[in-house]
Amino acid sequence: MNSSLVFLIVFGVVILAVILIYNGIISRANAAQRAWANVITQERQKNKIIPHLQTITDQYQQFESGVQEKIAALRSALGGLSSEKMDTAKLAEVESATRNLVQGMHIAVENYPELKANELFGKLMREIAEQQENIGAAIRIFNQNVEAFNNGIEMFPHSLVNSLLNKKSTLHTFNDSEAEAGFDYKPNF
Amino acid sequence: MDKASPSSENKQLATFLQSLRTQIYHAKTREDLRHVLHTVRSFGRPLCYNNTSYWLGFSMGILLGLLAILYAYWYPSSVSAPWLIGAGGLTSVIFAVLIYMRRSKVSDLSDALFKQDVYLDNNWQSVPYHGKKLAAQLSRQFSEFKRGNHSREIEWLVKGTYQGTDHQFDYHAYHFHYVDQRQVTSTIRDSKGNVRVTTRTVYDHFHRYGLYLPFRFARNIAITNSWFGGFFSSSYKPASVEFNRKFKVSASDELSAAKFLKPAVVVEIEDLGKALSGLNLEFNAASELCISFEQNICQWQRQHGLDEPDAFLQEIEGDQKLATLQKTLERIHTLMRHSDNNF
Repeated sequence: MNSSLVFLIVFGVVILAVILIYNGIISRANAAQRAWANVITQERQKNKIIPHLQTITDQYQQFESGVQEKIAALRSALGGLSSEKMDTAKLAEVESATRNLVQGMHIAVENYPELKANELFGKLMREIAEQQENIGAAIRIFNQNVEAFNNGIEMFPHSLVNSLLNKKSTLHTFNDSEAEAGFDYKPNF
Repeated sequence: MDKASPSSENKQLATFLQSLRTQIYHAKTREDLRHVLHTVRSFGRPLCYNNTSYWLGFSMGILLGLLAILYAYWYPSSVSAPWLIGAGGLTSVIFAVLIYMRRSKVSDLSDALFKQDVYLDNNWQSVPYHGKKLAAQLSRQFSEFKRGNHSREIEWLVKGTYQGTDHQFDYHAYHFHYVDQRQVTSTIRDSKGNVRVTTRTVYDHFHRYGLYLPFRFARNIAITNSWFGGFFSSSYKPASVEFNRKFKVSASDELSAAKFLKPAVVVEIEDLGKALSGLNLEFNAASELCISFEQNICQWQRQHGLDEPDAFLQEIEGDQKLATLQKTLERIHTLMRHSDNNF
């Protein structure tokens, strides 16, 4: 076979591989971006429950005093989230505000057992629990996609294509620092 | 006290086994099964037939055969020797089969009793069905049962109930056997160099397992790992790269798929796919779900039998809930929980 033809075939294969790797990096970056937007969408679902919480606080005056501040804190934290910018610190703030609110509601139930019998309160607690499960799942999907993206730009020969063409940096996975603080073990990476 | 003769002992055992069979058949609670085992214990002797006469018959058959072989060796021209060898062989085979049948009687009863226990622990009921007719009926409800171009049959079916924290549902668990028929053409060249083309029919047998149940929170959506044909016109991809690598989603409209596939549902199906290979979830137009896969999650195996009643009783006292089935039902319940409306 003509040596120039062999060269052309090899060159064609290399170009094709570079195109595939380049597009792969773009698609994984977009998947991570979409997963992030998904996390934010799930977080914003919390706005749905705030009016119901207001109804409850109107019914139980004493309940209002402790929980009202926490609702305001959650609302403000939700306002700081952006689906464009992957800010895991802001996400941690929302998660912390949610945890405080749920904790406040549990304390309120202990102090005012009649709340337990309130149908709306029961539905609200169920909705909050499901929302938290969905947020947990959305974060898991985001972290999975970030891992796939990071692998896609750090492994050879993807790293070569990325450094020459895509020029993307690794993304940070979401870590819950409050939950992490409960462990003595700290991974050394 | 006089010792009973082997034949009367065997007669007594046969009557006892018959009464046990009736009791097992009518057992409705674990207490009934416990009662059966207490009855076995009070029988006073092991549930084994006295096979002395059968063993004697078996040995006589062997002896007759051996003597006939020796006779044939010394008198090769003998006409009766082959007949004697045949008679000896046949006699021993008949007695061996009789011994085997007697032994399996106790084993079959142990199987029946354990099966009742498994059914009770898993909240199952037997339902009457005709395998081929049911497969045909299900093929009108779910595409899953359109597999197989030669034959389709439901080989096992049971009805169960699951009680979750938020929802209770009835389900059917099944074993589906289907056969694909194909023509294989091969070319044979003989010693003279002539080429001959032959065509033969090959039948490939496949087995799939699954559950079908009412699922009123979703319709016209198919999530498939084991893809075998078109389900609905629109396709949808959720945000998870891992999910999209394993599953294809098709739906009558993209919006209903997007609404159903919340993040918690996506990760639940991802985890379900790790436990069950070839997983398909099909929500039909009548809001029914068929979840199908390659593993038989409704399999059980007993460790002891009626020949050791104490150990068997202990086994029956244990929980025979099928772990993978329970986990799958729990995950279906999670899908329901995330698809319903709390307000």
